[in-house]
Amino acid sequence: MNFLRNILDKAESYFSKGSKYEKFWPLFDAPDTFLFSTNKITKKAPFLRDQIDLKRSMFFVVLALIPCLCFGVYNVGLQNKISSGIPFSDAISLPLYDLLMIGLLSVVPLYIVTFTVGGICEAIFSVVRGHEINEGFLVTGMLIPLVMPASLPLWMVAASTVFGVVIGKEIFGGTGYNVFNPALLARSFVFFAYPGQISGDRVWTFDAVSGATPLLAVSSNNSSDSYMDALVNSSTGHIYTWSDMFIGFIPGSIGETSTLMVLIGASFLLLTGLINFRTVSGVMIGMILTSYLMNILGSSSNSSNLMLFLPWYYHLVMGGFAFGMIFMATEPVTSAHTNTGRWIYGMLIGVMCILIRCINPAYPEGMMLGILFANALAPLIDYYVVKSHKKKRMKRFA
Amino acid sequence: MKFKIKKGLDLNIKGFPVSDIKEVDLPSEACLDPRIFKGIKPKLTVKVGDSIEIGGQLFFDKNNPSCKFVSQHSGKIKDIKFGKRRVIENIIIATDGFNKLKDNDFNFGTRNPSKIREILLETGMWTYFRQRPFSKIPDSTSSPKALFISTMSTAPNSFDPIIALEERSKDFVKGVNVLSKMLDVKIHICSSIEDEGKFNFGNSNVDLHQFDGPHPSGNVGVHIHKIDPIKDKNDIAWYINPQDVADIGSFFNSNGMLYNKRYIAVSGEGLDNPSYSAVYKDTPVHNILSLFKVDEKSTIVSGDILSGFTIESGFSMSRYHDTLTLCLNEVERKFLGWLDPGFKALTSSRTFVSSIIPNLEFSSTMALNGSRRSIIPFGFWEEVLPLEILPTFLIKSILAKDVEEMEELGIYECDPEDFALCSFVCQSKLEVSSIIEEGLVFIEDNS
Repeated sequence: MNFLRNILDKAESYFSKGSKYEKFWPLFDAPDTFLFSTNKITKKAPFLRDQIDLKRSMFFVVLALIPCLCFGVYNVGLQNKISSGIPFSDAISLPLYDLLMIGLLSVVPLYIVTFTVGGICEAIFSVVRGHEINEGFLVTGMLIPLVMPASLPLWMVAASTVFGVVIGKEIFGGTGYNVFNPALLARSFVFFAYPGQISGDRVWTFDAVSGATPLLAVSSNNSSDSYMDALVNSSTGHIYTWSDMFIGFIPGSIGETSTLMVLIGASFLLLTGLINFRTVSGVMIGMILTSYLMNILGSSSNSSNLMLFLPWYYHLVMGGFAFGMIFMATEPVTSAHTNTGRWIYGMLIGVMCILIRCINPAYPEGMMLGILFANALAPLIDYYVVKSHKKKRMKRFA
Repeated sequence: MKFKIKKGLDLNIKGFPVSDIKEVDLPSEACLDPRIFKGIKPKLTVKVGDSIEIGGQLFFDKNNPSCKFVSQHSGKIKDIKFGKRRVIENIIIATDGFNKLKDNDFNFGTRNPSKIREILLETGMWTYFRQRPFSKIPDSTSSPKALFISTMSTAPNSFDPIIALEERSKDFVKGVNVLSKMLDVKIHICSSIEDEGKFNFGNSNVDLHQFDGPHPSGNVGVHIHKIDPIKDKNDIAWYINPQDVADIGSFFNSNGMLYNKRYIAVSGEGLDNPSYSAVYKDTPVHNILSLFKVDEKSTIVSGDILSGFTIESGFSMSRYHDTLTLCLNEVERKFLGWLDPGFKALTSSRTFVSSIIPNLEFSSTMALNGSRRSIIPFGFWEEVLPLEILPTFLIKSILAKDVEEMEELGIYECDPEDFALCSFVCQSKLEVSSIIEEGLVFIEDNS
């Protein structure tokens, strides 16, 4: 590695302060510190620092997303076969290689576009602003394709990435200053700008045949007796069972379908302490309580809205709930910054998600909007938590 | 009272000092850097060539003129070094080896509070006191609401005051009783749970407390916070190093001898044989280090590794510190360092293998281990701060220079050393301690 180090050391003289390309220092610094850990030393006390840095934390979040990504690639292939008319039981026994190849063919271009476009935005802002390129983009770039349908045209991915990175993050000052989760903002951009492409029954249009997501199947069905009867793929007649949805054999955005894979990533992140258990618990509690409430409301009013009857463990495995809870809601910058606030913020997401899913007829999915709503309210939550903290502090002097 | 501190972190790093005591001889030159006294404006009262005795005044503080700063040695002023804008950087005294004491005609018969105060001011022992907020020497006419003495230290590889106090217990008890007489306020003596019952003062003004738990449970800031918290900038508590208390006691026990030695710990990985030492006050660091085998690639830190400051070998360590740390300053650039499984990584996070191996003793360098980033509130700061304070919001209010918010969030209760662990665990490599320091300076100037 000495060879590589020598090249970088030589290159450094061109970018260091006072030299010709000083302005482009971030473009040198990013690969340099990516390849070799820094040799900076502490100038002020404490003269001892934890080995962890943002690179490692962000890398660990990326690692946690790998199971979702792998399953996502496989599921893209599977759903493609199903939507082309092959019955589920036959499609699932097709050779793994076939399914993965189809998946890779649609997922890899999404990643290439996201990282190229997002990386360019990030680099431009770093050079203009004169700060180092932030690792936060690794996670954002990893997340954006996972919350998009595989069939989304690449130019839309590019447009939404620009929106997410620039409007969601950079105009506020970059990672650490953003109000909304950039990946989620990218998704909401597609959602509102090109609504036909991201939900509803056009999500998996590879051929003429399409398949609705389970959430849409339930929310758009007013005639069945129970939500069980409604959980059917309208075009193929395949029934979505709970275990199918838990494992993830359902149409949906690339990374969100498999609750199992999300839970694997979640346990990794909770064990390493990189996501806050308070937020996650808050989301779960809010979701479970609100689902129960909706169930009671549904049975007492004899409503024809089947969403009201959906138990919490169905909400958990349908749509983007689990994925959003683990990878979006827990984003440290946009969530509440106090421990009490994190509980409230989490619960708010759970409540909003179920409310939107059950009561709002326009959007079958509520997780994205729930999180964005809570993102917007997080500073307010913190404001009140801090206020009560100040009161509590004053009480100590009484 | 007993206090159990839950939040915090004990760092098990190499370089722990053994407790056999190395004697350092009287140095041929002693030196004092007035910059170690926070917030003073020194005005010299000596010039090069003057002869000086133990207790002879070197300079005073223009803002607090009756508080004198005195020499701990007898001899001649050899040199006074000035920096930019004539800031005094070092006063060098060539010692004569006679240890001659300045003549004082203190009447030890009548000892009323104002007399004791006068003696302390005159002999320079007043400078042993510091106050919270601001960690500076208190005004010579002021009185605190309480005096805190911490006889414990929890910072990694730091000096354990009990070792010195056991040897000088008579002086320590005397010192506490003298201070109690002078101040007539509660004196809170905080020790670790193992040292419970080591001293008996027979004084109703003295309260004994025991603290248990990880660092910073030994910091005086934590003790004040738990026992008698500071409300605003006029709500003042004093604190004093227990060895200084013993020095005061020794002065009164010996009818006016200024005690000019001190026990210190010389620790850190930059040394082959870290151990305790008995040194004369104001001994230049190179005299102390001549007894040790020092690694070339090390930096000298006055104080412990978490809260000290770097000094050069021609200077003496801070009079308030009793630990001298040598830190290794060479850092290699590891290929794809962020992928390192980290079998030996020093970390409080759970992202390295080392976090599941019990009883590891870590090797440490001054490496920053990353680059500066903006605040990403993972919530790690809160895990290591045992105070009723929201560090993320306090730091933001300091950076925003919002005085009112800082006050409401409790800046007056803060000291950089209590936030050292926040800097340690920070992934964005923010200088949390220094930001607290800046906040305190700002608020002192602007409120």
